[in-house]
Amino acid sequence: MIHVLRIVRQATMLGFAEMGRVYTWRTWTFGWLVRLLCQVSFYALLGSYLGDPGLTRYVLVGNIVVLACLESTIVVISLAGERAQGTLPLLAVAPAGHLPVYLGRGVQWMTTGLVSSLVAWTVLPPLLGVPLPWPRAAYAIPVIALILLSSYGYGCALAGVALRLRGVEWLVLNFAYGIVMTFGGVNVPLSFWPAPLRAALEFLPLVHGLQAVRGILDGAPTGHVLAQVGLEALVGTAWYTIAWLSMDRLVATGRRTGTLDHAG
Amino acid sequence: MTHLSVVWRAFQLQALLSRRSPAHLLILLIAPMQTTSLLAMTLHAHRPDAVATAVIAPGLIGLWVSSLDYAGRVVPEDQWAGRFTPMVAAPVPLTLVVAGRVTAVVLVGAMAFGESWLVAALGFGRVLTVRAPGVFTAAVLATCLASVGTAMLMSGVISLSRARDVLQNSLSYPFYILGGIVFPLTVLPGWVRPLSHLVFLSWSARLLRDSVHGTAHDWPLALATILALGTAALAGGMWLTHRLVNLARRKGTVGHA
Repeated sequence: MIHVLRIVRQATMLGFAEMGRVYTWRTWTFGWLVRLLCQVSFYALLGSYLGDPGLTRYVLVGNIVVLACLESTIVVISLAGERAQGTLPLLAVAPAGHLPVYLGRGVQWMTTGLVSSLVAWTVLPPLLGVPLPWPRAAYAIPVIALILLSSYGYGCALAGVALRLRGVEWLVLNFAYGIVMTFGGVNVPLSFWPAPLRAALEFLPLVHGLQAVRGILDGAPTGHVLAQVGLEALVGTAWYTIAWLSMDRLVATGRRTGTLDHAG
Repeated sequence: MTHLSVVWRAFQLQALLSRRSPAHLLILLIAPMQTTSLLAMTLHAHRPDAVATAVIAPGLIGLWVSSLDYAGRVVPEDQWAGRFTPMVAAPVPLTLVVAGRVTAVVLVGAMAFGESWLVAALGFGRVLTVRAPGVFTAAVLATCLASVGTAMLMSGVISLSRARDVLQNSLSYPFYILGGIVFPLTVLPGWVRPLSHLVFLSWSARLLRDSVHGTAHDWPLALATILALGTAALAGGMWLTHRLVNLARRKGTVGHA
């Protein structure tokens, strides 16, 4: 176990080193973070134009929490990069196996996701005139962390598609995130969508976690909130299982057919 | 070779490159989801008057993303792929080649307008009718031209910048807000509005919405402003591309990625 954790730690350090090649703390803060805050404000301002402060708060909360999902799913790009750079065979022959490295390859995105969603959680509501009920709003923070984790599993599972086909990682990432953003109860309640679609949405990350966050803010019964938290954890576990099976199969097939260093 | 045929050949080259790169079609994947999101918000809030906004905005986003993201990568990708050296050595101005290629990319972005209309009609049963089709068509054409100009400028800025990924990742939503593409500019604080007037998206969004509702009374001014902003960006982009080539020639770094 300690061995596995050491590998995950080193994979995480690699991830941050990679990130450091694109961003400095200044460009991350004044470039990427400002962009994310503008994304949330864009939808919240639309909410305020279309309706009342209630709608603005609904849209604002949804769009802040979805940042956690957005950043976590960027793991698709990090994982697809292993194949593009030809490092996948090296991971497969490593004595520790490929899974610990794989699951640690995008941890930096979970960390930045937590920072950006927490900055948005504290700064934007008062700025946009719809303050959150503190200290109750603080109880939602662990749920946002859970959403980061479940979305990360979702991203790892979908990275399986990006690893099998050449040059589709950005399509997979945007599709994965876009589906959650569009149908996951971020801008409109789930009840807006037809029943068959609603049934499928139960299996997306964020959906139950976001309902728990809204429940906390609205003072819903603890039982309801905990049930939604449990479902979010269950959905996340299912996505991790799919990710694990998908990557194992990818490597096993690649070993057998000698195509581990090929893409598509 | 005439200038027009250089632009046309560059257009064809980009079409071939984009066909082999699925990521260039990203905007066509995003637009339907954005239309769905915006229309759902509009209909859930019982604001049928804002349906036009929800259908037009993804088209404008498509143009902006294609200008910023793909067109911005034209020169850097050429440098990576080793195409930049023969292009600089060719006896035609590089600016025309870049202009032809960004036009191809921008046209893919413009297809988002059609997609969002289809999503509204087929997915939500909302067929958007345009009260002033002449003005609307002129506004779409002017917006595409302004996007080509902006794409040229972005291509130059991004090629010269050391933080090109940061620029490409960051310059989307701030401009959607400044451009007021999903709400009137009156929603923004007063001190932001003068900045909005410098962004062609703000003029395009208002003109397109007004032409749908048949209230585009000041369309000549709006159209002229969109074209003027696009031309200014194009001039800036051409100057930057020219400077980029001269700099690379002088430093002997034409073949460097």
